[in-house]
Amino acid sequence: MTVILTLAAIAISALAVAHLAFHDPKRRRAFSEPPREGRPRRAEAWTLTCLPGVVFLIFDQWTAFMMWIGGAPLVSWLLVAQSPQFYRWAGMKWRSIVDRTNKLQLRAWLAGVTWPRLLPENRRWRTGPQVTTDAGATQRVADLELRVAELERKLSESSSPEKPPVPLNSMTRTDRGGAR
Amino acid sequence: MAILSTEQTKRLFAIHGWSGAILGLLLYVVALTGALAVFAAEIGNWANSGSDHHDPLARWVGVATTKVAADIPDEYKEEISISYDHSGDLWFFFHTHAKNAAGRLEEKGVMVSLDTDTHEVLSWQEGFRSELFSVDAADALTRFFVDLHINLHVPHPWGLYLTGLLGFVMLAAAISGFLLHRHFIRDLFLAPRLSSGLLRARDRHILAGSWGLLFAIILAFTGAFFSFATSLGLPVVATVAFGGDQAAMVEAVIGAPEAEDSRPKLLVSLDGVLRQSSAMAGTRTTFVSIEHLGRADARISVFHEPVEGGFRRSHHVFDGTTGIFLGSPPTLGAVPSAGDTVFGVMSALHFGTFAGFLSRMIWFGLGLAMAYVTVTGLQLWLKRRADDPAWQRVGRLVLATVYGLPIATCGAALAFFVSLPLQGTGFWTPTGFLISSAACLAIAWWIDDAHRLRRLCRMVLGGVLFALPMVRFLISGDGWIRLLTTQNSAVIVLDFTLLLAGAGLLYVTCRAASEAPSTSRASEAAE
Amino acid sequence: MTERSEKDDTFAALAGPRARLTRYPKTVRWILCGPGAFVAAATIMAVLPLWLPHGEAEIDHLVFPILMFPGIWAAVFFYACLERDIIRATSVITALIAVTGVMAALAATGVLS
Repeated sequence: MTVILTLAAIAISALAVAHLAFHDPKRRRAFSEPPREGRPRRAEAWTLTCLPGVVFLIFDQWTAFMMWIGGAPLVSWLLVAQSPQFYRWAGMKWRSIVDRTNKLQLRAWLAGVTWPRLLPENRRWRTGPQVTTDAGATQRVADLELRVAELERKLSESSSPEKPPVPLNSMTRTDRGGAR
Repeated sequence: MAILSTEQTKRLFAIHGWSGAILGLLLYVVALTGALAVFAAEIGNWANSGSDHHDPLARWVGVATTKVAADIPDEYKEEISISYDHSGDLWFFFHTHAKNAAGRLEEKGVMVSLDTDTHEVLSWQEGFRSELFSVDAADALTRFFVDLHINLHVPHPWGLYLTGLLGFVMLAAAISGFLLHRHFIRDLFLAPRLSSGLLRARDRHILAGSWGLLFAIILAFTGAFFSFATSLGLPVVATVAFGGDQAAMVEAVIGAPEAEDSRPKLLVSLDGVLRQSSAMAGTRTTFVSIEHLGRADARISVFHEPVEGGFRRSHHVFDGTTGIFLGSPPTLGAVPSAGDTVFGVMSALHFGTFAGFLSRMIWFGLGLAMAYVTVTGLQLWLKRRADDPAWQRVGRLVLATVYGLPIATCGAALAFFVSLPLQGTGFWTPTGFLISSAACLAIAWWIDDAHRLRRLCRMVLGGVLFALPMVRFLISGDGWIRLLTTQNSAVIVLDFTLLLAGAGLLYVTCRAASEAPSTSRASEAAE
Repeated sequence: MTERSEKDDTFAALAGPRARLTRYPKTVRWILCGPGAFVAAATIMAVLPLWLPHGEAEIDHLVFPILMFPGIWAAVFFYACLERDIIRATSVITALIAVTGVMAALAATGVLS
């Protein structure tokens, strides 16, 4: 029980620290990240960071408190020490793993669906085309085709060979630069 | 901090930098071996390829004690310590107290090791404690690096003074670092920047130092206390309070012995007492002590691992002739006191072994973090003096020590495995460490290029980490299936961790080496 | 006028050690922070059993000085390091060592208890 409580407390504190790091202006500036919009809620995050320790002290959980006070800064440091680029890379890796897993799951699902169909008594699918039961699907496909055609028309109009007029201020800048 | 004047800042900076530069490498050795010492029991268990007994003191120890005691001279029956080593064998130390060659009071007696199952006598030695405890072949590896952490293998008491001094250096560095850093909160979330080597080294050191500040102070404070407590504190306080009589002070602190009753009387069933104690504690028995065996005033003390939620080991005392439970005395003094509580908290905070695997993992991580702060501090110091040839040589020495210590520890473990069948671990474990250290230093002397040296050190470290589990298996013949069946999964976890760490380090180093030429070509093309 | 001349005499008497201290401030500071702080911490630890309460188990006055030793050292060390006036730092630490050292010696010989 102490172990689970401690792990949960470390996780809560580390998440609050991660939130603070994510909204930290100096960190964002250092890694050329745009500033975050909205209130960073720093006071709330700091309260949440320290809250598990206070709760442990109130309920006399000294063992959990000692492990939390050692573990929370350690995990927080490991989280903060990674650059935003690392998290972006890790996110991409994670997504690709999830995609691969999903594909595997799809394959497994297809195999699960397909193999029973190969059994002699289930071979009716070979006899004729599949009939979709979704009556609205044909209509939706037609609508989408119409929309694609409209977009293609607009695209061809915008990419006509006529050059757009050069803005006056940009010409002035070029002239001044040339004169200098 | 803004409150400091320029002069004060300069002074603190000089102390922070020079103390780290002079003693940083020793501090790194103490920090890293301290991190390993947290898992000393698990490493010892792994080095012996596990044990068939998970609670050796619960296996008819009373019968074994009676059997061994029959052949022991009466003078050594004043006190018996019963414990077990990492291979699960029982150890008995029948002893009295006598002055050694240096004139200090020390335990003297007979040390006997027994097979836990058959009670067959494996070894029998007579002498002083300091001589006898160095002969246990199974514990040689853990004893080696725990001693390296405690006293750097420097003779008593100078080793303790040295590590105590290192504790002071760490304490001073942590507090001065906090006072020197003007933007403590503002830089708390700043990951090391990629702009330049110096800035990156600074960011690394400051970030690790800031998050580890509290525990740097705690570990330095408690470490300095444990080093100076017996080497300086005890003699000084004993001089003032007891006219220099240390034995009298120890007696006052630990508790005065009860009135003696030397009438012969049989010992109660020790196994029954141990079963009762285990039932009361609910945890494994770690140590048993019997005072005045065969007398009416016999006492049995049983120690257990801490219970869930507690951070102190359980201690039960029983009457040796009737088996009646007499109580759970505190570590210091006869009744609970503030001094005893603070001592218990300080022990728990320094050793980190109070709450099983999780607390050990956290303290191991904290130890590594302290070693990391020391190394990044040294790197920062050297980067600021990168153009000076003398400091470049020091840089190679730092590199050789930073990678050399784990390589030498692995070298000591390899030497331990090879010498285990020959029972020569007591000699070969430190020899393996020294040979590996000398090889690392020689390579650092030989190779001028720091990048090449780093790559080579990483390759060697990766290689030895990967080789260790295989050598363990080849020497002991205990594979993972057998270890699983004998419930020694900790050995498998450690094997797996070493294989993973070794393979990871080799992969990262090889990949960096293969990428380096293409990167340099690309940068040349860009220029 | 009389007061002023007395002060001048005192300063003149102190001019020797003061000049020596201010001529080598770095060396004096290193001595104060190094051996000075250590010896002062040791003598304070030695004298603390005389002042601290004994507690229920009659051990607190013996245990706490040893437990507090690294803290005492840190306090003396940072005082020696941060004190702006080197003469005051030298005087304070010398006085600390002298007073606590003498008291510890008296206690060890049984004069104080």
